Amino acid sequence: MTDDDFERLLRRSAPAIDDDRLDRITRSILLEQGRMDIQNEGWFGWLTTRSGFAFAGLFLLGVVVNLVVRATGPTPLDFLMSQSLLLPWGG
Amino acid sequence: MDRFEAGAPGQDEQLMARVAEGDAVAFEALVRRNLRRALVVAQGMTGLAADADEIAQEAFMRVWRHADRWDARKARFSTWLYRIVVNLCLDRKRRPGLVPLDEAFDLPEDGPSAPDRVAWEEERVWVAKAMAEIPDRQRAAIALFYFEGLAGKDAAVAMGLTVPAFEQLLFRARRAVKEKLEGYGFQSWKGGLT
Repeated sequence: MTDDDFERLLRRSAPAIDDDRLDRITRSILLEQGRMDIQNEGWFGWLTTRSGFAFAGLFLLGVVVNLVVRATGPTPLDFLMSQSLLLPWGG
Repeated sequence: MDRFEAGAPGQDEQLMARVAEGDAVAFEALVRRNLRRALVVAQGMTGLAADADEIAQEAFMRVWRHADRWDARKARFSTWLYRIVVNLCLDRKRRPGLVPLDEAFDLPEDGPSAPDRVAWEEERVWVAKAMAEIPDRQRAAIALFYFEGLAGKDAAVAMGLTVPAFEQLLFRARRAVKEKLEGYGFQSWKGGLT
């Protein structure tokens, strides 16, 4: 075998990669990339997102409590107002 | 149609600029354009399809994580990718307990039609067996230069070598494979080796 024949032999011995395999690995890579992005959201983003929801939830709860207290007849208003004015949902 | 499918030079570099900004769509296009070449080199070096799949996946994860480190002035994207793949393969081969290369070899689904196909597949198995018995860096040189068809200069950059050093490595690799094949009494599909 000449050197040229040998070089041709090496060139045609490259591994064959079929399209199904390419698709499968591509999906796997993209899945892993998405997972990595979620992990990289980081603790600060995680905390601020969730603390925002927590604050909004508490605010709404305060509004509801305030309305209920006002709607349910005689209450120690002086005491309630003195407390609620200091709170974020008002009095 | 994806405008990056055509394969014009510089498109990978444009995509990488977007990937560095966290563009997932550009990353997918980059993967679809370059996965095959990563797999060819990885499988040429490891000999195992399963290992090659893992290495290609890890290589692209590194591309995604470290896209901001890539410098277009120093190397083309493909060269950078080859370098990542070669390094991952070399690291993996250093690990103990690996399955030897010649224990598994993925026969291709495409290629010449019968009756040449059987002879061709047999030929590939013999070459893979010979490749398994040469040093890792020589195997990388063959994978980059012959399997992937890189120019010597690009292959040298991908391996972190000077061009003369790569040429020497490739010369030794070629000679080693030829000697192994001769030792097996291998007869080529198109003409005998000896």
